[in-house]
Amino acid sequence: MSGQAAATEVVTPAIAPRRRTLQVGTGFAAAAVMMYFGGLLGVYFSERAEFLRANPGGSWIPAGSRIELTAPTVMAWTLLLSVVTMQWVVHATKRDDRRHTLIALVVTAMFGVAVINQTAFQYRQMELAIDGGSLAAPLIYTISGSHLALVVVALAYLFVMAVRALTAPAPSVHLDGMSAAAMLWHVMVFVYLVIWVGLFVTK
Amino acid sequence: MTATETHAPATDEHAPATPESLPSPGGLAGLLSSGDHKTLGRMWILASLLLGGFVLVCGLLLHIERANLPGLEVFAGIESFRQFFTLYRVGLIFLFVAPLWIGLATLVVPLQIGARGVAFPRAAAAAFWGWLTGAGILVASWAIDGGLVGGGEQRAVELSLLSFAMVVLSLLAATAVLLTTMCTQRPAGMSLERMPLFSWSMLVAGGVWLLSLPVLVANLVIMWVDLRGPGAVRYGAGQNLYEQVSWVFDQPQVFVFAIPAIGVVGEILQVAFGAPQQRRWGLMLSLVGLAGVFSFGADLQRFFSPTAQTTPLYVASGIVVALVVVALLGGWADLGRAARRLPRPSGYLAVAMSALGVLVFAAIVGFIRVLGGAVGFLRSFARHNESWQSDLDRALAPLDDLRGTMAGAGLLDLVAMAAVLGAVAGLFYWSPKIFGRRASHAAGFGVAAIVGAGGLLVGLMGLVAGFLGQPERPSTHFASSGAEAVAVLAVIGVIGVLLGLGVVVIVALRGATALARGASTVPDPWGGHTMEWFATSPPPPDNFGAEPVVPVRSPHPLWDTPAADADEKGDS
Repeated sequence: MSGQAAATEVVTPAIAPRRRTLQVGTGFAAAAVMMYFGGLLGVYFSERAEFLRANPGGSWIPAGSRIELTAPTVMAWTLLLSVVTMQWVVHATKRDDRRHTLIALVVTAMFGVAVINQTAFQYRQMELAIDGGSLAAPLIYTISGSHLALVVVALAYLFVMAVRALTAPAPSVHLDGMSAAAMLWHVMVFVYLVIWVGLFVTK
Repeated sequence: MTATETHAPATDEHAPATPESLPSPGGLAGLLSSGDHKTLGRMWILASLLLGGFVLVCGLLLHIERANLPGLEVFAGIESFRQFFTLYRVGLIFLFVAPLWIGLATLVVPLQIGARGVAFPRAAAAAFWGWLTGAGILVASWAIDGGLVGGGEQRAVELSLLSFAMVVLSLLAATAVLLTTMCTQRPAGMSLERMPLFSWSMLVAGGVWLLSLPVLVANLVIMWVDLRGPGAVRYGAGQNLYEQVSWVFDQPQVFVFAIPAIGVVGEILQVAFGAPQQRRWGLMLSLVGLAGVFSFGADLQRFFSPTAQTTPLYVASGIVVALVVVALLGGWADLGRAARRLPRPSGYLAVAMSALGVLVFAAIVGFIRVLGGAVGFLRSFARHNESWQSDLDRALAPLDDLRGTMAGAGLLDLVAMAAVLGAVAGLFYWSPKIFGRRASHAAGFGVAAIVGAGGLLVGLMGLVAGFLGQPERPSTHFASSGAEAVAVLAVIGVIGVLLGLGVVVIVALRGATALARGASTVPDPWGGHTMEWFATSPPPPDNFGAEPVVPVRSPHPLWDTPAADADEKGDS
């Protein structure tokens, strides 16, 4: 051992936690979320490729089901717009602009609720049943349903941070939390874009 | 406050009170409502040790059945045998090994890095109670004819899948809390490369858990959705359930559960030699990181990719892990040479050496298993020479045939035992912080001998059974002719491990009782070098009280101060 420090060494005055704890924690959670969807999509692509290899010319989507591109594309645009409004929330919070924070939060939340509504519409439109006859059905419902759950979680996180920020003397006190909620929101949007391309565009 | 509440700086007098600084109720209410990482760590440790005992009893029953002893038929049929087979594997990792590491890390890591608590105390508490509830439901679901096999009650199987997912998600939440703590709660001077080896190994292992176990959750959700339909197509079909999650219990993923053992051994060896690992510090950190990278196995799922065990990545993982273990041994040999003295014998050192020994054998078995995959490459090199090819076929056939045999079960047992021994070594080493008293050295020597020998016997018998052609997946519940003796030896090994675990449970329960009665001991009885030995034993609610912490200028802050030198001389 070295033992070279002087006896008069000034000890560090405090254990000061680093900032951005919520952002770091949410970053880890977001990484886990992405790996979860990575796992789901990996299984989906692998199974689809195997099916098409075994059934050349066959249809991965079972007969009688319709995977229209309109609703998923509208959802993708809705979520892309929500990315802008989410950053508006963060920007307004940083500037302690309570009014714009509230407006941007409401608009973002409305986009989120709209996506839930569009997903419900899409499920009705697809007429895809998990009836034991198709490999695609359980996978499509698992992936899109998991994303639906992620939208709900992101909305709940946003709601908690909104309550905190808007009831605080200055919203910027909770900038860390609001930025963390924005991070999860952006991850949710990114995941949807991958789903949009992988499940609905390329079918 | 919510689960996402962050800690206020300790120096800020006007900061809101943290869960650690609030007076906590005593007794059961105190346990149930605690967000203190030390209390949570103790509960993780005790619960996982008790559940570990249950899991090992399941393993014992499986081995007794395999041994085909006259008059000792344990299971009514192949279905119940398979149910216990899956329960043993799931339980070994997710009810025993992983939570034991989470418990030790939750307790020790904040102390080691000089933090006053974990980043999200309520999330940490929710993770523990979620895991415990999930574990209870998981065991109950198996008991009511569920499990990861077909033939049982469908709703019980659904419950098994959901409770398994709950257990994994809770472990992930606890891991995320630990990683955030390590990234955000370090004091000035404590850079990542100055973190103690155990904390570093938990950072690496936790990172790989966080990136790989969500894929397991994805598998479980797909199985559950398919099973909920009128007729499972493929993913929820009984014979496919375990197959889809088997990658977690196989090479290379299984090694990630033993990575923290490297950290514990590294910590203990430095203290035992009384010398810091200075010359090879960067190398040691890199080796742990390398082991973590090559332990990622979520992409090697045999169910979806039948050739996964012949891919270059799979072969490389086994070789790299073996090389990492060899390089670690070299690093520690260098430490011993630099110390110029023999290590001080102690109970925790004995357990750590036992863990290291089992880990070495696990790496050897892992290396032997991937050689089967390498056979294909060798054959392709020799494809132009028929004579070479036939010679190779003859020489390498036993290795090629190891795939899908009991050698995989042997590897799982060896890795799990190395991990358990590593965690138990940590339990003995950090006993002053955990229980406020030093664990008995005699108990440590006993555990090292019994669990080490038992674990080696179980694991190596698995390898022998593999060479004898015993299949890993149970098509029958009995060992085939000629392999009964191997199964009997495995039974003896499991009994040894169970006895050793019993000793550990007694040590832990006695420690917990002593702690409840207010036991305390000197802060640094072993002459330690890391921050946790600066705190009292047991540490106060905010870990370091009003005391400022020592300056962090190296991975060995306590050995950098003259006062610590004097303390250590007095102690020895």
